[in-house]
Amino acid sequence: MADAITDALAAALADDPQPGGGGDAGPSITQADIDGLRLAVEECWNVGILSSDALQVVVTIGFEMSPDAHPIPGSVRLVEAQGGGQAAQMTAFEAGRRAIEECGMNGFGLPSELYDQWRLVEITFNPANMSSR
Amino acid sequence: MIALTSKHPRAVVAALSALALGIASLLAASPAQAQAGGPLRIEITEGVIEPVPYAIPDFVAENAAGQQYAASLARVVANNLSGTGLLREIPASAHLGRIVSFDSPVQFSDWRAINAQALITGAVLVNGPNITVKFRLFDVVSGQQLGDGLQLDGRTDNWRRMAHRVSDAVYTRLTGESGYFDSRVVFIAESGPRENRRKQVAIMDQDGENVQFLTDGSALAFAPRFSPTGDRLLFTSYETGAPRVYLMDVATRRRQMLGDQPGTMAFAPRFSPDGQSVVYSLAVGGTTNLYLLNLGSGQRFQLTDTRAIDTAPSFSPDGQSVVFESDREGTSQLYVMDISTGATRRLSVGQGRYSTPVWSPRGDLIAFTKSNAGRFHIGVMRVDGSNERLLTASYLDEGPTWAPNGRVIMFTREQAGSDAALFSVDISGRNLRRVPTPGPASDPSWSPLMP
Repeated sequence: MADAITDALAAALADDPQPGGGGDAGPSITQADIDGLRLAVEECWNVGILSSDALQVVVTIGFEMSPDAHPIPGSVRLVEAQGGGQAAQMTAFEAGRRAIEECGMNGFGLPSELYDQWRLVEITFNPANMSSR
Repeated sequence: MIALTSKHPRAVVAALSALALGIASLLAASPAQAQAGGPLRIEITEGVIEPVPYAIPDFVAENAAGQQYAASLARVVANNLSGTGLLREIPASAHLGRIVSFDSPVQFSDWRAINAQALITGAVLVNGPNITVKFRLFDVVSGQQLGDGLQLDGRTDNWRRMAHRVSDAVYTRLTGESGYFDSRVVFIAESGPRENRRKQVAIMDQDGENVQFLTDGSALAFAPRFSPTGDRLLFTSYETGAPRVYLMDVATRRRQMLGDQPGTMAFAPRFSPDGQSVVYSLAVGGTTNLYLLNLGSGQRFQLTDTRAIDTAPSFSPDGQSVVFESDREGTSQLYVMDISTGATRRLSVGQGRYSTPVWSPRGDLIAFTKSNAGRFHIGVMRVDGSNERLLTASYLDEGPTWAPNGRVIMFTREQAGSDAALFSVDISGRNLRRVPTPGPASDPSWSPLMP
């Protein structure tokens, strides 16, 4: 808790609080870096096993990265789930969690000098394109 | 957020510690706020569709008598799970770790090293005629158990059912679907030369084991269909010389003819969802209409009255509607009738001839046989007739039946010049595979999950 407060206040005092923020406030994480992270997680987001109910669920998963761009396992948590019943939301969450942890095992290769901008991530998994029913 | 101008953040933090305590609860609840501007947000809409790799070592025998089931239980579960096409087993030959005790903590690194994403461990104990089977399911990637596992107690001669119930529990936890492995299939087993074919009603576990013959084949039998609780069967037989509908109790094999009417032919029977009535086709004097027979009262109601051939009726799971096949507009098409009002609407809209409709146990889809341009297909459509999708194509595919969870369909396939066999396919059209039977087989009907 104390760390969160320290971090919050430190961030409030920081010169460049926005990820990808204003050009005159220092380097920002690039779209290429963000795309790289997205593509890496996509490769491991395996929806084959999901029920048709679970394929209706849009789930947002938050997690924290270590400075060498690995997801910190205990930090992966459900932020929000929309659609489907409880069992469907659970399996949708687990598929997203597997994607993050599986493809993050070797690190996501993000620029360490911009750690502040990608330390916390929220990924929304939307399977609308993946359903056939 | 608080706006401050001090150049010494640490001093500021110390000075504001009292205020910080006040906002601490907000921050602790959502650490995402700690990264100013919020976390990096990404949306992912594309993924992959691949079988999930899993490992299932032999179950641990917790006493000497359990040893004979330790490997067999795991093999039945693996056969079920891999058979779905959704999961891919990493064989024992590749395993680095071993499960020697059901309660010892799992070394996840051993299973990550062989790229397993799921791990199933189990244990078995046998005392005389009684068997206890336990299992646990783990997500190897995150190193966590999924669910609480399960313990099942039963009789050793039902050991396969225990394995099917373990399979259902694992499958349900991983997919979110309800299971379908603890179920049976009734079908027509064919034997003998083609000119003098023997057709018997047979029953087996959904994985092809435990085949038993329910009729002796002295008369031709067709279209066996399970009751909603799996305890009775309907089938059509020619033993009196003309097709008649029979009701059989699965456990006792005792059977009775339903409603004999001389000069008529009765066929294509199915149960209503409450198991109290049978809908079937009756051919009388050149027309074939649908009838509903109440098993308790013996009362018969005529449902259709046209000069067409109306057949292959199938109830919706809520018992309100019947989908059936009719050539009333020229070619064989699908129609849905509201049982209480009699109102009938046409369902099929595409090119070709549609037959053998079957309502999914989930109520959302209707499976059917379609023939068009010389090819046969098994397909599904929504109950309003929209979103027709063909799942298979061949020389002759027909007669779909639904698994109890509405995700898998079994049907008859006949290759040109060769015998009929049973096949199954996932609702997505993937994972087409042959269902093992002792010989040629046709006309499958899938039971509900066993109670």
